[in-house]
Amino acid sequence: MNKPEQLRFADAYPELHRDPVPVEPYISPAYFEKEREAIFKKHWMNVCRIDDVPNPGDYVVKEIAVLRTSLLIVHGADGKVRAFHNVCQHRGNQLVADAKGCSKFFSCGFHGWVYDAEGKLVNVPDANEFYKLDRDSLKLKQLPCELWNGFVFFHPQAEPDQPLVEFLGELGELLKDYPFEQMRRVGAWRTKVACNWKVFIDAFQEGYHVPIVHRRSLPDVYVAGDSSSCILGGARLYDKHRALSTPAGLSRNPKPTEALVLKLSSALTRDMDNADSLMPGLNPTGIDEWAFDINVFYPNFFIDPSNGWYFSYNFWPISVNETYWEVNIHMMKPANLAIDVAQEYSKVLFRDALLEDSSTLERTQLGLESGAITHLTFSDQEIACRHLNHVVERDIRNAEV
Amino acid sequence: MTTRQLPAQFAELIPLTEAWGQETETERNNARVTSEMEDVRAFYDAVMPHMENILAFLGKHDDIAAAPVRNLAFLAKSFIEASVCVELFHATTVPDGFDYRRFKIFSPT
Repeated sequence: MNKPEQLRFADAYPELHRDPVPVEPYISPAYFEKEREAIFKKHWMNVCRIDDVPNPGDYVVKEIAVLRTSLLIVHGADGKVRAFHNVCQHRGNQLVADAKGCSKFFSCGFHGWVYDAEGKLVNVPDANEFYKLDRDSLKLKQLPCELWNGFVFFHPQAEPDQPLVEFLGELGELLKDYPFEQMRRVGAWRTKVACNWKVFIDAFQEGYHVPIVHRRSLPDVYVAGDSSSCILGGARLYDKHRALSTPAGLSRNPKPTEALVLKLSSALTRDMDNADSLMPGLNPTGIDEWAFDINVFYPNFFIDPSNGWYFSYNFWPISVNETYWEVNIHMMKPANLAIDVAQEYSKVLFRDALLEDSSTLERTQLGLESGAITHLTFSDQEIACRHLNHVVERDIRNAEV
Repeated sequence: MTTRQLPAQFAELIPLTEAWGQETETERNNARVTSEMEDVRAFYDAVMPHMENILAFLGKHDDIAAAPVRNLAFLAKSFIEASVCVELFHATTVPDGFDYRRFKIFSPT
């Protein structure tokens, strides 16, 4: 049965057409190069959390393949977190080889040039052998870096078009009081998948797949009302970001272990608390029987929060058909070890559900690359996928003008 | 492999600590996915009747400084790994899932 026309998300967004969407942007190396230039070199992107570099001297190195660079994120002695190209200014060697650590200085493994945590060149062996050494122009190349709610963002351009908070816009404003700082990371997983970054993102910004892909891990968990479908609610398409809310099937009988842990903690499958005690920023459109929100920050970052936990995704394109994926799940700091064990249930179930999700990605990419279909037929429930394509296409078009 | 100490009231579970109750997710998950389903089920069946008491006990502790408490907490976390196999997947790995060996675990514990 078709939904009454006025209930469709698309009605609120007339700028989005309703026709099938071309496959080409998912498989074309030339299109990917355009995306690199028009999107990934031009937007604020989350690179880690302050928890990754909590103390002065702490650093992480992140390989950002889509920018063909390695970033060095450092917590300075002055408390400021900075992002540098991880490249020695002498001969271009990558400066720091470790993935993370703590140090006041960074010494290049090639000729021993030394920089401090603010990027200043502080020592050059045999400095008097150089004709002219302008230390000020030989600082590490710094990129704009800002914190928002403990998330570290960087911008690939020296002069961003807009400040981070302005870029995060209404969606950032919505989440600004969510208690991120009261939570701790309990799970973190990384993988590389042979699929386009948009194939990857699309798999996580609709609920249509849930009753099929998650029939084992989450049976009847994220369903709307008495249906067996995961009908998302509250779609909000911003200029570039987008958000949706996931329903919870509250009439379901929990599995035995789930029933035990639900007495102690809100879980991935269900919120133990009443809806009237929701944390700030959640379920903004007030859908019934709500489970969690899907908040997608363009171009490649998700924050999916619930009442007591949130997970985040970072999708890092490598090539047109390879993407590196970082997943983190954070939960409220537990008051005791029983709650810690209860939270483990959600963590393990989440991880295993992600293995189900990921199973479709490489097969989808292969299917698209076969040429057997030229267009994707998105439903109203897949409007976020349509919106992503729309924004990508618009960015590329604008960059070409 | 040797067994580990548990709080006195859970002494009958001590033999299980030889194969279960590792301190990291990587190790606990590895024990699960490399075991036979019948062994995972036997572990689940042995611990399930105690889980309510285990959680009540752990609810009175907020750190893992004492070895018996720590061992019990990690045994309970191994039980969680086993529970999804028994209650949801009916298999030690996720059926039709992405290759778990490609999914690198960086979790804190």
